[in-house]
Amino acid sequence: MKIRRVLKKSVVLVTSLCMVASVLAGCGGKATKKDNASSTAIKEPLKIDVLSKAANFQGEQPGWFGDVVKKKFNLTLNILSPQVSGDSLYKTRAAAGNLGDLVVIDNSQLKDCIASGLVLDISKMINDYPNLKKYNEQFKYFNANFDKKVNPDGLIYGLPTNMTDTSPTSYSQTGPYSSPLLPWDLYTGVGSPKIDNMDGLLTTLKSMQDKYPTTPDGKKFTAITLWKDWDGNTMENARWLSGWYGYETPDETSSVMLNAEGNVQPITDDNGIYRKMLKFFFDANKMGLVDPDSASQDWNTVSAKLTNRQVGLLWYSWQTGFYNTMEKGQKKLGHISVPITDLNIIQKGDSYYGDGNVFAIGSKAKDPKRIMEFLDWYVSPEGMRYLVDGIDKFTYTAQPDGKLKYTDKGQTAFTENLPVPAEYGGGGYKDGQSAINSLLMSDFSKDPSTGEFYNPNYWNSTIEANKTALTNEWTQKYQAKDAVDYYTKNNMIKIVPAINTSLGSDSSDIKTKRSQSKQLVVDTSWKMVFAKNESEFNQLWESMKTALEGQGWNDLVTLDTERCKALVKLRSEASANAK
Amino acid sequence: MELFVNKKKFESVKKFLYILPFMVLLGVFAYYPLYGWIYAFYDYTPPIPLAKSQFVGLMWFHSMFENQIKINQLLQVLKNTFAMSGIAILFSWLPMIFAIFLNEIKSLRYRKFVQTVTTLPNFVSWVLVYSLAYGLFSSQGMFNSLLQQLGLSSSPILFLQSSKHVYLSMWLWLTWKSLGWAAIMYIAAITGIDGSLYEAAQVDGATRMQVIRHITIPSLLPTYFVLLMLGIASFLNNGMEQYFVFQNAFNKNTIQVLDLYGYNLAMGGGSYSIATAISMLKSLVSIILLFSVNGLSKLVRGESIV
Amino acid sequence: MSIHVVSSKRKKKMKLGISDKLISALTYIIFGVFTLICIYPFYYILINTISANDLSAHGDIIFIPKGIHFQNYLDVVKIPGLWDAAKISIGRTVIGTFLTVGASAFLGFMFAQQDLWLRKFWYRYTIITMYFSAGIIPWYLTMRNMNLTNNFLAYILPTVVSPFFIILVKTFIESVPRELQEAAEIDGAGIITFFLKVLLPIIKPILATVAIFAAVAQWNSFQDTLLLVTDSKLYSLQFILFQYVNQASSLSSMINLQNSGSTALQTITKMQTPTSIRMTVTIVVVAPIMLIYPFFQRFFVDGIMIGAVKG
Repeated sequence: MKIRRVLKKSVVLVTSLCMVASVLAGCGGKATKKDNASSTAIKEPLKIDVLSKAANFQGEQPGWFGDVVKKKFNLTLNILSPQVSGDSLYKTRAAAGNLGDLVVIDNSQLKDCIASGLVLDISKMINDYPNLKKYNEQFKYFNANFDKKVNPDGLIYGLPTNMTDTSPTSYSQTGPYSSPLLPWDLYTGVGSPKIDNMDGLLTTLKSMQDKYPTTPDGKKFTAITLWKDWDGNTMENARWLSGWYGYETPDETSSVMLNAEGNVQPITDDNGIYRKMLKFFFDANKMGLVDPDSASQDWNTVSAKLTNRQVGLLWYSWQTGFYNTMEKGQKKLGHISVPITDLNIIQKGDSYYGDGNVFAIGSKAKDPKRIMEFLDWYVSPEGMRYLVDGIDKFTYTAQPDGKLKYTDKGQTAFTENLPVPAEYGGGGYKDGQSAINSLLMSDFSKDPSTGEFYNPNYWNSTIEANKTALTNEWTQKYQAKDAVDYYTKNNMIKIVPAINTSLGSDSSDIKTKRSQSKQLVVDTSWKMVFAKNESEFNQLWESMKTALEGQGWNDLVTLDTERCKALVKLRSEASANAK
Repeated sequence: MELFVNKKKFESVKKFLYILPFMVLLGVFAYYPLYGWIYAFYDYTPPIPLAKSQFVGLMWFHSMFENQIKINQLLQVLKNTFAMSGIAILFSWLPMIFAIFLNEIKSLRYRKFVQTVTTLPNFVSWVLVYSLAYGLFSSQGMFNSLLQQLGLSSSPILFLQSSKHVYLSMWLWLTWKSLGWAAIMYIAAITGIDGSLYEAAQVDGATRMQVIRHITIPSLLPTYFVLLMLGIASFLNNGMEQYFVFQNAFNKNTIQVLDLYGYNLAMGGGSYSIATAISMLKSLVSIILLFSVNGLSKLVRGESIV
Repeated sequence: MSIHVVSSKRKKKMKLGISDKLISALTYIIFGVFTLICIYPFYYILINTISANDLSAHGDIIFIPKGIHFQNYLDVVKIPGLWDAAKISIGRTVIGTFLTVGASAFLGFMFAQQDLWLRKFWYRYTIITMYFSAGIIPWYLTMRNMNLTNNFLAYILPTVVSPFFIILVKTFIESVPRELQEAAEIDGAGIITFFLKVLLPIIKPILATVAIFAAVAQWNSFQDTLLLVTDSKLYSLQFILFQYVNQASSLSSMINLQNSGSTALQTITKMQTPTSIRMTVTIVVVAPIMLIYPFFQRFFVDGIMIGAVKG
């Protein structure tokens, strides 16, 4: 017995030691030494660390995209993702002095990185690369205006992500990011009433919920459902609704709201839009229109409800994807825009200047020239096609008139993770997408050979194919080709230029004040929505204001108002430039 | 005489040399990085190096108490922490009793089955536990459906949002998740009890309860006291994950324990320095508690544990 | 001096009073109920992972599985890099556990030696490390300076000295009669010989306990990977699975129909929800543990004391 046990133990020990040995032998892992010789020489394989803030995958770039990159550049992209490993990944690598060879970081991180010498100055290199060269002016503009203290000479450190080639004042999408969306069959079922304002919306929602209390499969239908895990500085759901009436909280602020005309109001304004929206939810709750589980729900549960049409009012353009399908569309089922007459939606325009993140090359990068080569391809038409459209002849194909359209496979390749043919790299299509998850030039830039956007959803072929009985009926009724068209025609939407720069960084004191006030605002907002009566509603509001003042709220408001003023100035400059 | 003394000393030092490599290991991994506590005295944001950061002394420590509102918040958080830890300490004997009575199960197969199955909840992550809790206790969940079917209530009870009974429910979930797993230590200890004691008891005609009271429990007490003391020293460390998944605007007041408070603060973009400061304070308190309880034990039971 | 083998037979020989019968019945009932509330959630998780995904998402699967399929598990198995990561996890679990158990046993034994030089000091030096942590940045920099980033040893070295396990072993050893060691010393055995040949067999129950605790900790851990390891060849199984779950969550929250065509809209509803993926991953992670658990369990549940020494 004892001998057997000892034998067993030693077998286990030997086996595991062998495994370790093989693993360690296999993980030579170090990148083959860099070759500063230029790209004309036959390239040695190079593995670069890519720290991408946008990535939600960590590991070596898999699948077909990895194959493409390897074939063209003999590069392996080792993706590091703070979304997966936590923000500590960024902090620890920053503290150690080497973020990575290529990084995708946000503006405030860029500021710190420039100050600590973590990123490379590539001003002199841009002109060597034909595709990047085209955008040199835009790069210079961004870096010069970025932060004069940290980068006084305006050297190019960061290349903004998602730059479009449209204009600062245009908006190329077909639907506003946030606007009222209702299930069409229920809406027509209660007589398609004209909705004049938020009270009208409540009445309509009530009649929908009364007439259709359950879904076809017996689950409870609620007009409004909320969830707790996306709350940021304010109650997330109320924040977006404020956008319907022209107010939003700009990035890098947390205590105020700004509208297109430049009017600044603190969130705590008694007559302000935030309070109005809380009141809207409060009234809705009093009428029994709000899901009672809202406060304890998280997004996982909500997304399940969305797929089953258990929710009435939606307010993100992409939420329709959970329930809407082509099939349902032909039966006139699905969520679609329903305008409210007094809407004044504020919408950020195309990210002409970039959207808040940048690509940068690490100062300790193994071979900056090869990385630049890769970035150059990233903005070339060939690269863009791979990044946005997929694989030629597999997911899309050219039509006789030169424009592109989806192949049959292309339509479901992503959602069904269809297997990619071996000659293109193999693996699943979705798995093989670029894990960097960030574009340098936006998909809303023009493909030179087709004249259309790279974004497949905006190809003429796709738009035609996506027409259903539902969209046709909608177009008939509202006399517009899409929601943005309707809102523009009726002066219900204002496009503000999307400004991409850092408005300032927060001192640790301000950061603490922000995080404390955020908690208070969010928690009180929830309590107000579910308050028993109006006096409790008002009382909670008043006590919140008092408590906030005790935490230094006024300092935040002052700072944020200054930042808003700077933003307003930049916006008007951008509008002027666009003309 | 001289030789004898030297030999003893030599023996004891030789024994120390055996453990020296391990002590060095510990020194490297646990003690050496403590230089990082210095970040708590600066306004440190990576990647800006420490040399370029501003020295702020005790500012972070002060900031936790700087105005009445913060102090009230902190007091409430501490109250929650004390309550949760307090209940846990109060019922810390449960795994021991669990193990004892498990041992009393006659059928070996049933005993093994129970023992294995009761460890399963330990492997369900808190995030998943919350999904299960939601499925059970939401307004459309099983409990409310049952209550309505039995006619016991007309409108759904929002269990998950209530701020009453938070301490109790959190403790119940924690017990469900950890009881079986924690009992393993006691089960092992029972196996180690000297068999001749049982034989003697058998000869004396003792009943099972008497055996438990006079043999099993006293044999398990050393283990129990050690674990109790470690638990008391960990008073401020409830962990964050459990409370994070269950928290919402309505129960936050009573559910926010110190670890969660620290996390909420840090997640708001608060600084690394504050997190370090809080961690330092907690360590200090834990060590003080540890040695206090140790001293108490020496006084009361005549032997120290550490 | 002899230590008798205690067999389960002895229980039958004890006097059974009425109170004993009552206790017995109560025990069975209470354990029965508790077992049920432990096993049902697991059963619920299991049947949901093999039932049709949309039914599961709507909360329809409560007692019996419907629309049985194994696609969820197939999806997990197909994750790129899963098997290599599994090898890494198995490697670190086996080696790490072996070293941790060994070190805990040895240190627990040494700290129980009354004549260890400055015993109290060193014991306290070890114990208090449970109560402080220096913070993530110095930890990372230290590991980096010692070349422990992207190194398999990073999974193992830091956990070798585990104060909690040392305490467990030491407490257990203190219930072993001192005379045993003295007798061995008189017989001329050195303390290492005593430790390996005499003590280890006696303390098997606590060693099995430490082994299972350490093994589960190694198997489940991935926080260490998050920062120290960026070479994908060293990623552990838990990390890969964690990422898999994470991706589903972020996908769900940002269904940006950027790369989907017109008919793609149909298939989103058939996609697995994050909760369902979490459940599948839980089963995948727990199954191996449950497979090897009985091997450890028999060391401490039998009631049979192993390695009896007849004096």
